[in-house]
Amino acid sequence: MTRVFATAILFVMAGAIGVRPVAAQATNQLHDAQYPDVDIAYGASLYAARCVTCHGAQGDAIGGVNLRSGKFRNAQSDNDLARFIRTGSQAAGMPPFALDNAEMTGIIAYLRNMNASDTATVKAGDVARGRAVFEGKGGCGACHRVGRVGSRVAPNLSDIGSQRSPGSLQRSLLDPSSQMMPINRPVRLVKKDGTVINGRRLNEDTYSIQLVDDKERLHSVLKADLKEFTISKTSPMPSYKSTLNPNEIADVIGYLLSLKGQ
Amino acid sequence: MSPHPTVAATPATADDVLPLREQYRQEMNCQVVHDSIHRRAGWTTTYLLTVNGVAAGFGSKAIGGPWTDKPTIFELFIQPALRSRGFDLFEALMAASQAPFMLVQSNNHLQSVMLHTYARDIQSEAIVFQDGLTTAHPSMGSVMHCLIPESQVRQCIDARQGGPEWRLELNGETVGTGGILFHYNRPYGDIYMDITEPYRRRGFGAYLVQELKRAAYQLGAIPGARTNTTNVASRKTLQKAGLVPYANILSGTLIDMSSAAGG
Repeated sequence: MTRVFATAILFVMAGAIGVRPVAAQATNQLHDAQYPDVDIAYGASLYAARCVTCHGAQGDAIGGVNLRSGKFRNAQSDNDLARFIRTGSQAAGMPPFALDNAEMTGIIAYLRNMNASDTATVKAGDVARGRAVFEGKGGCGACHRVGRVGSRVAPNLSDIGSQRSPGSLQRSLLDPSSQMMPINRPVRLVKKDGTVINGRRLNEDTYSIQLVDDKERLHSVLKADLKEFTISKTSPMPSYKSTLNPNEIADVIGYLLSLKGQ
Repeated sequence: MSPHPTVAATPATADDVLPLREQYRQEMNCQVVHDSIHRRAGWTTTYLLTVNGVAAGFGSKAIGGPWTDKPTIFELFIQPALRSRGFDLFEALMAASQAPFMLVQSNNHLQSVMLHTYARDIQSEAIVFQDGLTTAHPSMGSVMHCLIPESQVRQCIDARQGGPEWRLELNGETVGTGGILFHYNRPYGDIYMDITEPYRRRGFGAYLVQELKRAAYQLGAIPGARTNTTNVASRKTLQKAGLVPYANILSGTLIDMSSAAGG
């Protein structure tokens, strides 16, 4: 009864406000259902914003948990998954997430298709050509470092191929802010003496923050010494949507996937 | 300074870097969990870090004991004035030491930055606690007995080796045991304890830790403690006795920068 009522409300809401009608479908479908691409894409963006910090871009950053496997210890059906996400798990150290129904549908669609969506739809091109674009036309080394070459202003990419999926890399190139890890967010600090420091956050605790500035200098600042502390959610990295053509994007993805440290 | 200073990491002895290690301890200003490793012969290799030939800091690699087949960078100190060049110096240390792993105490910000920048598969091995609150848990009729004479306790403190153990008794039965280990940087002592099964979940653990804290202060030591990240019962007991978490022992696998060119 409750389930029918909830479904009815969702359809009413979708009809009334006219947003994301697909995503607003009820979340009580079985896990072998077909998930619309729009839900998977919406879920991917939510995952990047809210889940990636703990679970990692590949979904395997927590020991014993591999979200890409499609199997979940505490959830069989989509309803189980939704319940688990909403209530969290103190034992597992996972906080509850107050997602609305559209968000929940999206995140479940992405989790159910995490493996397939990133590998099946993204083209990884030629590694050598990708390296040439990375080092030449793309100008990526002006900010990123690979091995002992390049700048440290942006995150080190020496093992990005073992950290990110093809889909995540593609999204980074086309919409950098959508994939920016919270720890890498640009910060602007104004100290009480008026000194301004802009840079990328590297580490932060209750009392201090560490960042690297545009001269690759490491700064460690006590928060008590600050009069202004601003964190931006917009990546300083430009989108390559109009700079590189689809083949070049694919080649860069191929090159990045080859970077696995060791 | 030149915009492109020459940085280097060269093998050194623990004595060579002792003044720098003293600065490191002062800056940490807390129990340094792996401080004692240097005193064990054959357990460490130390590197002096220089900028344009001038001593800038040091790094240490654990190679003995539990790290015999797992060479691990566990110490890094760079003088504050040269810390902005930390990345160059750490890359020099990685190249010289060839250590595939790194271990940090997370309240050391410099080490944490390097771990997060150059390592992957980062995980917490332990939570480190410091004293935060004085508690007044009742003894519930139990009494504590120190198991070694005070002269021996003093020897342990002076030698920074081992430490006293106490037994908590109730009506002649052993409720639990606990002690303080002194093989850490002065003046810190590390509390450990174990309550026997019939007496668990009754508050004896928190009382025992509370009394071990008191004993540590009476012996001129500052109490600290560690627990495994998955041991929730131990964590709760320590916190109930007024100890508060202030760091994690984080470990990670260092990226091999020399093989990361790709293509």
